[in-house]
Amino acid sequence: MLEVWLSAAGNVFTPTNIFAILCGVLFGVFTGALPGLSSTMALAILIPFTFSMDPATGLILLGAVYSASVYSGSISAILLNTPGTPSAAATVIDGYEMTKRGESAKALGIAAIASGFGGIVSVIALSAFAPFLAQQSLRFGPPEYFALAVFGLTIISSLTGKSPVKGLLAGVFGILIATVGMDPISGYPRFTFGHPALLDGFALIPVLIGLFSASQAFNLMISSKLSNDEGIEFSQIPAVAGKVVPKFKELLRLTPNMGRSSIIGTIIGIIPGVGTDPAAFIAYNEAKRWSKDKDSFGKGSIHGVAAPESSNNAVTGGSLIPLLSLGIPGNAVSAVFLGGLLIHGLRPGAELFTHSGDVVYSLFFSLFVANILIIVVGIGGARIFSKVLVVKPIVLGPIILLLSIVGSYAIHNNAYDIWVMLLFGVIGFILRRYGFPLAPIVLAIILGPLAETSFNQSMLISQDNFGIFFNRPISAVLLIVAAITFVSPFLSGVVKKKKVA
Amino acid sequence: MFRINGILAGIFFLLGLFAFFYSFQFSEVAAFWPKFFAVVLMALAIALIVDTKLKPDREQVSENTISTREYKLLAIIAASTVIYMIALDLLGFTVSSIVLLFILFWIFGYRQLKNALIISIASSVVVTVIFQVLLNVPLPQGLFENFY
Repeated sequence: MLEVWLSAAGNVFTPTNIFAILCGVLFGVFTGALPGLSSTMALAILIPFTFSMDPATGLILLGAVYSASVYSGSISAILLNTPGTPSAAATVIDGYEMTKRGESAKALGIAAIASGFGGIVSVIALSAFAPFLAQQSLRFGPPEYFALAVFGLTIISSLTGKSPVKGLLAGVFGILIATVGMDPISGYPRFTFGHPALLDGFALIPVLIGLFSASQAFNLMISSKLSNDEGIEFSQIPAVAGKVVPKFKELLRLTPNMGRSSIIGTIIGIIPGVGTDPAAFIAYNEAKRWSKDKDSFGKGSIHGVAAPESSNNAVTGGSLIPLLSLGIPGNAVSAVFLGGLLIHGLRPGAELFTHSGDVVYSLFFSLFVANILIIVVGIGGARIFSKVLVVKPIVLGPIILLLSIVGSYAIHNNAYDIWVMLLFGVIGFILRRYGFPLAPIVLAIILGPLAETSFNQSMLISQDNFGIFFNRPISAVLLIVAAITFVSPFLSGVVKKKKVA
Repeated sequence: MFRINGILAGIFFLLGLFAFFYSFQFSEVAAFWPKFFAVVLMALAIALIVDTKLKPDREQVSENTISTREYKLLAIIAASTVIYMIALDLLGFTVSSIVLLFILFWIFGYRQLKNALIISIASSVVVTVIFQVLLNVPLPQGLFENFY
């Protein structure tokens, strides 16, 4: 095992990969800091850049972007009272209060340290559990894979937003989109309308870029135009004030809180469908519950900044556990990350760890380095972050659209993929504005074909006997868990209502 | 929201209906999955109408979530992208991108001409260098074929 880690360290500490981590952290900080740009968008737009890279370098870059963009949502939360990413919503509560008190630099410093701490704890968990879990997938046959895909699809019920029906509609829409192209068993062309380009279905990356990046570019441009026409002024960005590095005593006092929050974040990250924003709020509430000075929360408490920041960054490593070991993306960002794996021909599961162990362990090791770099960049760059926030959405929108275009084109050197990106960009823009979550569409596009293939294979094995899914223990347990996962968000809604009544 | 959700549910229902009947052309194995989910899509579309009727305030948003003006602006972006794609073969990636960015900056209200031009040129050149030179991804060069 030591050999594997030494080899990973040797792979990471090359000029190319260190440069990739640095670029990833800086790009992640930039995209996460700006309200309106998300971690998902940052990753989707960057995947085409990794296409011609060595797989390890590509994944190292994506991993660094993922971690840094979740951290940097705190920057605008602290300075502008607006979270840069939804995961930083809980950081606003005490972070902005610290800014009002003239301690914005300290808040930024604590956010960086807590984020790095949370990220490192979660990478330790990732390194320990992912290989073990992947090993278990060797016991999986088609029925187990079907049950696993169904479990992954039931996560949709947790990603639904305000209207559960709209979330489910988005998911089923995604499953139908995934049926375009050749049927995985018989190769029969479906919904291709005689168009050869559709035989392989819609390529995943242009769809991802369209849904998450292009739609966001449209949104930035359109909202800028409307704000401009209405004469709405953008908020002033305060100068970063005070000392960035907290006192050693303060850091010591924060350690138990950061540790607890990191564990909470890691566990929540492992559970598919929950995500970074609830993890941050749960950690915040726990920090408050355990605190001796509860009244300070909401008034600029350093614990109120450290808890959500440790927790949301811990989700990054946690969410990669089911993704890398079983191929289950628990949220939109990890679904996009899976796209990054797939374009390099890497498939999650035991094979990933046995055949491409060097790539996976290099990714793990690079995440340690990236999280340390987040602390360094976060502290070193705290005073210049306010300059980043000056960038206007109208400037960003067209540039993101250009990157979406070139990114879609670059995968297959094919203009057809730009059409796909544009189509899904428009669909994404319209659906999002009408309250449809986009994550279920992606989850369904990824898991739908796996479910269909393994379902058909299971039916062939069992000669059309559905009992095959319930006679095998792993499959049966996964289906039961899937049923619970599917029903629980609806039941919790009913329970809440009864409590209110 | 009832009117909007009604229209959206109608679109999803028609999509499901189309997928269901179109699937009859496929082989039995190939048709099962799309047929099944086409029916689920139609059922969910009906459920959306029922849900909106029963709980009209669930989403707490106003009726006109996307205004006509926003649709027009979306159409302008889409049309600009389509024209850009047509221009790619003639003008090549770099020049087409400079023009696209500059026009979008102008249309969407960024009227500092000098800055808009600098950002358009810089962004396009940087993207070209990254893909064409550093990542070895060939981009269309149009009239400037073999120029760089």
